[in-house]
Amino acid sequence: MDYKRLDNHDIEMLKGFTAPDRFSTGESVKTLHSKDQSRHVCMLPEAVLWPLNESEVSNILKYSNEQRIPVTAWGAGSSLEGNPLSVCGGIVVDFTMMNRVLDVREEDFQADVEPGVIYKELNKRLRHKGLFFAPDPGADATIGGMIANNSSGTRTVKYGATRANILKLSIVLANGEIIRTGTRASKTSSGYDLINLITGSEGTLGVVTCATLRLRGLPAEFSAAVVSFPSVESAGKAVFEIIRSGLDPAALELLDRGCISLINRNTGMNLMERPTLFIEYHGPSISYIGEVMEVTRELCASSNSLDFRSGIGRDERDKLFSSRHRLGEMIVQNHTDCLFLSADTAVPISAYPEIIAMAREEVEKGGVTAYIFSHAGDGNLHLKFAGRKDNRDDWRVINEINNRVVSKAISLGGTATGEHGVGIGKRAFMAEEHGNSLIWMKKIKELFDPNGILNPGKIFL
Amino acid sequence: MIPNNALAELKKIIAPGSLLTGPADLEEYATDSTKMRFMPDAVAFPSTGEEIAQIFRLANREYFPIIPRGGGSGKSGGALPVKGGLVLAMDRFNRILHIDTENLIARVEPFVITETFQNEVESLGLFYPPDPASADASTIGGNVAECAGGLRGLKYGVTGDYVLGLTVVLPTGEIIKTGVETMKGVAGYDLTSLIVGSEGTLAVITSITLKLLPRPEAKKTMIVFFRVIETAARTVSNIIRGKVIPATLEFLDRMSIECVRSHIKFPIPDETEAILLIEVDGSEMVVADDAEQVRKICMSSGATEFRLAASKDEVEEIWEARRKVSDSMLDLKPGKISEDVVVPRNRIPDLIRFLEELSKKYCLPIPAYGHAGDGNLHVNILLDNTPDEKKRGEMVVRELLQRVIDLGGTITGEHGIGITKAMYMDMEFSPPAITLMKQIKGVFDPNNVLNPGKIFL
Repeated sequence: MDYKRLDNHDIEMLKGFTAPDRFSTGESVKTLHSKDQSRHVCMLPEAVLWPLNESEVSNILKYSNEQRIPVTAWGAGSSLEGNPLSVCGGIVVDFTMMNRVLDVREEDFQADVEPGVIYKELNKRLRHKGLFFAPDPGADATIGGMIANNSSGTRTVKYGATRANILKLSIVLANGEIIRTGTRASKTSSGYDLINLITGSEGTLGVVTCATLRLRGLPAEFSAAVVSFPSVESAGKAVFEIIRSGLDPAALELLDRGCISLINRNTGMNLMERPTLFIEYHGPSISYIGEVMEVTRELCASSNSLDFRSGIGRDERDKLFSSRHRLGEMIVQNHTDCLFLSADTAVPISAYPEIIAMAREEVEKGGVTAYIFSHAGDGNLHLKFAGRKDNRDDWRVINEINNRVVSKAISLGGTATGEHGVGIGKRAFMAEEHGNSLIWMKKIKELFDPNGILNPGKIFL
Repeated sequence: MIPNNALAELKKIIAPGSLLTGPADLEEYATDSTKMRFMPDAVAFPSTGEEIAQIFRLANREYFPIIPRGGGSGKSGGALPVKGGLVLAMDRFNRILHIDTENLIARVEPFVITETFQNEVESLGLFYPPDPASADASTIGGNVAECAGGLRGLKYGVTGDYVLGLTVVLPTGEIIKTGVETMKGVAGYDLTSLIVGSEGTLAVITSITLKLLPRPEAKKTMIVFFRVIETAARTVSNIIRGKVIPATLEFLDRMSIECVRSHIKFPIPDETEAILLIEVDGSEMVVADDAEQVRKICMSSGATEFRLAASKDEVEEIWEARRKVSDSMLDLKPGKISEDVVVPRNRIPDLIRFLEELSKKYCLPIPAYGHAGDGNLHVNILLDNTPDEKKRGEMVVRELLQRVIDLGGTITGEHGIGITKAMYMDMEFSPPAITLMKQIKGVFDPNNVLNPGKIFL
């Protein structure tokens, strides 16, 4: 595609659609919008805009579409695959000023929000109403970014990914048209399912300007456990047994020894430095959760667990899970001279021990630094590689291992990306994973965005 | 019409004896649960995806419609050959290919009967929750095409929530696989969800990968009687607010109860205006607690009587009666218009009050029953089939759907748009949204050979 560089006329027009103080071509602003939390190199947009409402977004898109100016939507910049980087220049539309919670309908377990709302802020506001929005990708992710990437987190094993928690969307299409899709009703079989098409499309089909979210009641009781294992494989086996048993954990996270050691160092906790599972249950009563914990203890014991600590209080549980959420950051801080690559494969749960063993072996053989931590409960493996910035050997080995792990996952019936999205880094695996259905994804892209202005350079090579 | 030369070619594509063209043979394929009737030109029974692909290539060359058909139990006319053409009866795709008890995944062909599949997985200690009332007749493929719901939607969601991946034949004759066999995956666009609920207008499904759950250990079934209909409706919200999520929470009004009274052996208190049927499931302990919680909430909300089903037989009797409601409506009047509206759960009292107003205003009986926990009511407008009553019936529908939309709801929760609701699409969707859907249809089916005349007017 040929895109237009912004000229003075474009700048005046775009400024007019927003306001002089909500439009910037300043270098520092552009730099702030040139990088997410991935290894991908900085890509500077030509300008950044902060719209306040849907009609401003519509005007911006309509004009950009006519002028062939690339438009990339921006939430918090916390993505891990370069998803919101301006690969082809153009403008970044930053949604941080569209951050209002428009309505909370407690009775319906629903909230209407703008895309710039940070999910953690939303949950703070909902807490006293006894409700929460379940997906928890960590960082300061915005609802808009979570929808774009169909984010998930530690609670997905019980509550589903973002997709399972969206009821209704307002979307601005590439040509500026506004459509609303979905319903406040709990289900619908009316028309084609555009919500699921837009969710996870990484800002390449349309831009979300309002979302009706499905909320959940805060569970009456929580309980967490920390379980240590002699090997990653034995922990992986315990994960498989727990899922198979139908115990329905609300989180089931696997961390390897390196991760635990980092957490100990950063938080002053004193966890056994062994492969470890963080497990959480939500339930209606203490007696119920106690029963579930007992079964879990037995299952872990039969997978050779070394230590099983349950009944930990709310504070300690919060500390555990906040350290799990901050793990990515801790790894980055621990290797200041490095760049990082996050493998994000997911496999059927029975293949989970196999993919873990394979990944660990590859890492050891290759002699590179990598951390294994994952949303084990849904078969999602994160392998975070640290490679020295200008060391070609490091990166050659890392890329080779990454390719082999992803191919293995796909051959086991899995996927290249369980939750981070395709972005820039996983485009190369799309043909292998999707075969000829990739062509139909491209056709949908062409239908929605014939000029290719929406987040170009993503998903498709 | 299918040209004669095309018929001759069809015979070459599929196995001998797999094509029906005699009018008497076609009769069965001309109708479904809507009781409407449209004759096809022929019926084919393909055995492989490749045969279907060849049939599509022929249809694109000769321009005749292809209408896929499962159990023929659809309620919106999705399987009806409204423009004639070739019905693709999927009967031979009837195998359960694989039940993976380790990964809690199954792969089935589309013509597997829903109930057969439910029983099969339950015998292995697993659970496939979607449970349309037509489970003994409907097929998994049909359920996927309509995104069917059912009695357990409140806790467990609808068919679409259990579809992980599909193999489909596209109208252009290409065979593609969509989706994953993992519990999550975000690589690229979600073609699976696009095809689920597309009512056989985007692709013909030849294999389905489904997610299964471990089978709940226990369940308890309750029947609760109310003298005031709105009290029953309010109780629904009170139960959910009490942090109990029953697997099933069904509502029946007085006329619906009358329809199936002969199937219920236990006494129904006098002056009963509404019943809630409630089932909780889970571990023994949770079920006992939940049932007690439900009882307390019902009684404090104003129920007249609460009954815990005493035996397995009684449970069966209750659900059997519930499943019969829809068909039994025709015992009251010769005609009915069935609507399938959904509103946010706490608006059900508003909706029920509105139905009473409509019934009075248009002098037509309008019984309602359904999945109250989902906010999904099956509203039936009963008619004597006179032109005047039919006209009044149509007016009721329009007013009803408008109110449902105003309450933030949808015009169909689980039956699909098909032909019966196509003229109301513009009440729910704006012109640009409808245009976009039509364009998607155009991408997949440029010559409009697959199930034409559905969803869009």
